[in-house]
Amino acid sequence: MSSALANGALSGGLIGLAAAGFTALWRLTGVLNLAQGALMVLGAYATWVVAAALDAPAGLLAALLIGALIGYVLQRGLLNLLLGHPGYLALAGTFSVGLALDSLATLLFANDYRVVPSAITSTVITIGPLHLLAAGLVAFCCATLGTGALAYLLSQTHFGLALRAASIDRDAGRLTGLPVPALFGVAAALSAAAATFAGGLLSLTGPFTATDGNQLLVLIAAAAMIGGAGRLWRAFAAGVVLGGIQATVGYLAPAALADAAAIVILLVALAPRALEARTASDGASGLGGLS
Amino acid sequence: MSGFLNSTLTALFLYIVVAQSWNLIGGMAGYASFGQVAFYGVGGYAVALLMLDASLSFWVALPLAAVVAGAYGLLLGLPLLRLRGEYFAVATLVAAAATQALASWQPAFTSQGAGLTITTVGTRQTTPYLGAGGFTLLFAGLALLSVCLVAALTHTRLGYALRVVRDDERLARAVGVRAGATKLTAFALSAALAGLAGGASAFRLVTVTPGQMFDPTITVLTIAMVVLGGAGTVLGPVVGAIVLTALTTAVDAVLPASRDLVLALVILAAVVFVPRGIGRGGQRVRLPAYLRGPRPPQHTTLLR
Repeated sequence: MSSALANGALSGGLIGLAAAGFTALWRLTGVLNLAQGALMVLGAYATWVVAAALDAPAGLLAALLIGALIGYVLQRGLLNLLLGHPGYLALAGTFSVGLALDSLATLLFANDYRVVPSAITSTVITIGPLHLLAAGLVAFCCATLGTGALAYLLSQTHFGLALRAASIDRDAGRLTGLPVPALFGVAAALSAAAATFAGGLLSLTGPFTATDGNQLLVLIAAAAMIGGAGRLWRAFAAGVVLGGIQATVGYLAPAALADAAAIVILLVALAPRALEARTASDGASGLGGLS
Repeated sequence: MSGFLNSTLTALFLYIVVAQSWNLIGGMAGYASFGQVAFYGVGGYAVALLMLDASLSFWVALPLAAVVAGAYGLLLGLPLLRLRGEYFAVATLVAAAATQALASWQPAFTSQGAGLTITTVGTRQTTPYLGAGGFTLLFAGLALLSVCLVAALTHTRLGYALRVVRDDERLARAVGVRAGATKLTAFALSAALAGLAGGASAFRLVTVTPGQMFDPTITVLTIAMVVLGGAGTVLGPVVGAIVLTALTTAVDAVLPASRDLVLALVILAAVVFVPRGIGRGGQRVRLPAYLRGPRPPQHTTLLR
């Protein structure tokens, strides 16, 4: 059981990376990207296709690039247009982008399970009582590095500073010469790339299918909600915890109950936020803080 | 009537019911629920289980399903309606996913996700299958009921209270509206309507599965209809339902395989080009907000 918990936590790291991207964009632009789960599946397919032709690292790179491209186009073509409108329009918009990606994947690849075959897929590392999947361990390390890179870019660089400034006040950002639409585009590119990269890692560690998007989205949104807007590392940690809980419950009880358990935890975790959100929604829409 | 006309009309009337159901909570109360399909699914399962296990007639099971879905709405609404904006949206999305997961797990309920089949032939049937024409009439009745309900609510104290809550919840409290009870009532009514739609659909489909009854696409399609027609109005959702029925029927005839893809593009177009609904006109040139100058104040300043 402890092995199930550990391996679940490792795969939760992939959810955590996607959730970090999700929550960063949430804080910076106020949009919850409900296509994040579908983007993860897209990244998995990109990696699967390229890895079959070249190798796994090239596949991950392809996932990263395609995610960045889609994220940028999504922000410039859709989300920038919806700034200042009721939030549910952007939610409905991003959800239907996810739906479009899902149905494209189903059309192109049919609805069966895929996995990238690689040398380390079935290797097991034993540490004390734990039997860890080597591929899962490597993927977890990559996801941690990815989250670190995202957090560094957004909080430590000049680009991150400009982005946070633009996020606090779009008009003032324009006045001081910041290319606000492009900055938001790059933010969405980074966020989406986090999801597709996480999806690429997912394809290297286990089977996936075209219809996994919604289930992944629920876990990603759950982790981001528990972490809070703009809390990259907290969202990552929440992803790891959710992954661990899901795997443990799944080990002890039917798999469907594991999903329900992870979701119930989210709803419980949201409880204190219920009061907080009531006041927050009346005030300023976030100060661009990221941690 | 031909089979094609019957199925198209049935789809239209079904869409009107779910669109009005979302309109109650999302349009009138301003709480954009992304979990509406949960109530549709609960209503569907309630009808299937009541007809199968309790051997009830469909005509008894359907109102009971509305009650069950409404009660489930109260249960979910109590904690969730304390959240606002995107928190409420995502929490409802997640709650619907949880409901689906539970429906897939509970073996007694759902034969472990394989689905339930309502008995419609032989000696164990409780109500004869209605047939294509019968279902068209049934859904027409439900659509009429939903439009009348929303129209009636618009001019009642509850309707006014809902709109004040939508526009400024603190103002609502200040003028003596019990915001919590108001929202909860609207959410439960909305859930009951969705439950009616789901219950009638379950009998029409005969076999219900979690994947079909809790498909989140239904929620987003519903939202698209309301947005397209004009949220918070009485006839807007009807207009949206007509437009989307026409589109889905056309797509099903031409490109059945890419139905979801086309639907997604339609929803995107609706959100970008007519965010305030057809009735109130699209904006001909849509500038990004950062080019449109300062935004008007989002809240009244009365209480600041």
